[in-house]
Amino acid sequence: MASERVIWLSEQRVGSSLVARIGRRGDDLLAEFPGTGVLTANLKSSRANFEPVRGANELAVKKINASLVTALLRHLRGGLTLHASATGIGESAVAFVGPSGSGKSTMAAALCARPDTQLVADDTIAFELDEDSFSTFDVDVSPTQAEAWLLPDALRFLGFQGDGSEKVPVSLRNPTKTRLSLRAIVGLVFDARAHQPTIRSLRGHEAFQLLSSSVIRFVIDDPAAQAREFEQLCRVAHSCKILELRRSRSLRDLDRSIELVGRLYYSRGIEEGDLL
Amino acid sequence: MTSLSIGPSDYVIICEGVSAREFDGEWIVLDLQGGNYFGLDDVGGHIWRAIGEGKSLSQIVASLRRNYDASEIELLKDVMLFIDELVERQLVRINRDVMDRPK
Repeated sequence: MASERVIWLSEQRVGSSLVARIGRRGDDLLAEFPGTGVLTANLKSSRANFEPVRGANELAVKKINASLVTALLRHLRGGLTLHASATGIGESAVAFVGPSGSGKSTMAAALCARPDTQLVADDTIAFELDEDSFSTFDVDVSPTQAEAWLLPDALRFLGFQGDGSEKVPVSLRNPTKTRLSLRAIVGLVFDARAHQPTIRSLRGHEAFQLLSSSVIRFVIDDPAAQAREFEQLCRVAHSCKILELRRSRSLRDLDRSIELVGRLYYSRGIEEGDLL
Repeated sequence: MTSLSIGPSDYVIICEGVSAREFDGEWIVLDLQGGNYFGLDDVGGHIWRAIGEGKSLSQIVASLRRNYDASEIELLKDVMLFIDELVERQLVRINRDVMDRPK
């Protein structure tokens, strides 16, 4: 009913700016992206509509449609999606999570400059977790985006043309079209005190916290959805390495970061000493 | 912190809507109502497992004494403080119903 009040249940801010919020209006679920559009759906996801705001930036509408809108509707159908970028080599993928501005897209784009590396995702990674195969060792991810959205300094550093101050989409060579096995999830952290990039394993609650903070959820007040997510995250955490990469904000650290991350594609049993 | 009236012969039960899994040697506890995850360290995990097995506080302390070098009184105090915190977070409750206790 159009006159019903919206109850906002969660919001995401970057600095002081509201970038997204999730709410309910009666039985409908709402996701609002201020200045860009509003997604409305019912719980069964049998009815869903993304309505761009009049005068919204076309590129922003396209980006949200290809990433967050798809991820939110996947969540309604029981799917697990993380806010992450990912790249692949052969049949293996590595994903990068972290807050907005932590360098997920830059890392993916920089890796894709290597001849053997393909883009799997720029903003959201979609897990393929079949309910009846929870005991299997691998978790797969499906390709979700074929473009990386980069800030001007990252664009120029990686040799692309670009100006202005906003992120712009860049088509990368060879976006993958097939499901890949996820080897590792890397939390990206900027650390002004880091003399050089370092990578370490996260265990237990620390690993779980990183995964949980990256989940894209449309239904956030349903215990059954919470329980399902718990099982899904347990499976992900058991099946692939969860790590943290600390580096300075300098793009000059990118080469060393890529060298560290590059090892993750080839070995499931990386020793702690190899990571540092 | 709540001020619980709890003694060594009391039993604690895990609240409905709380789910937990052992992962990498740590217990991850999910409160399905609030949607919050909690991590338990080695000792916390030991206590959580013992609660799940239906042990009384004194039985929990006895099992901890076999694994940790501390006096019974110290361990009992630590266990009570820990359970106090779990009760406050609504993850467990004291089982006052004698009929409902494990045989």
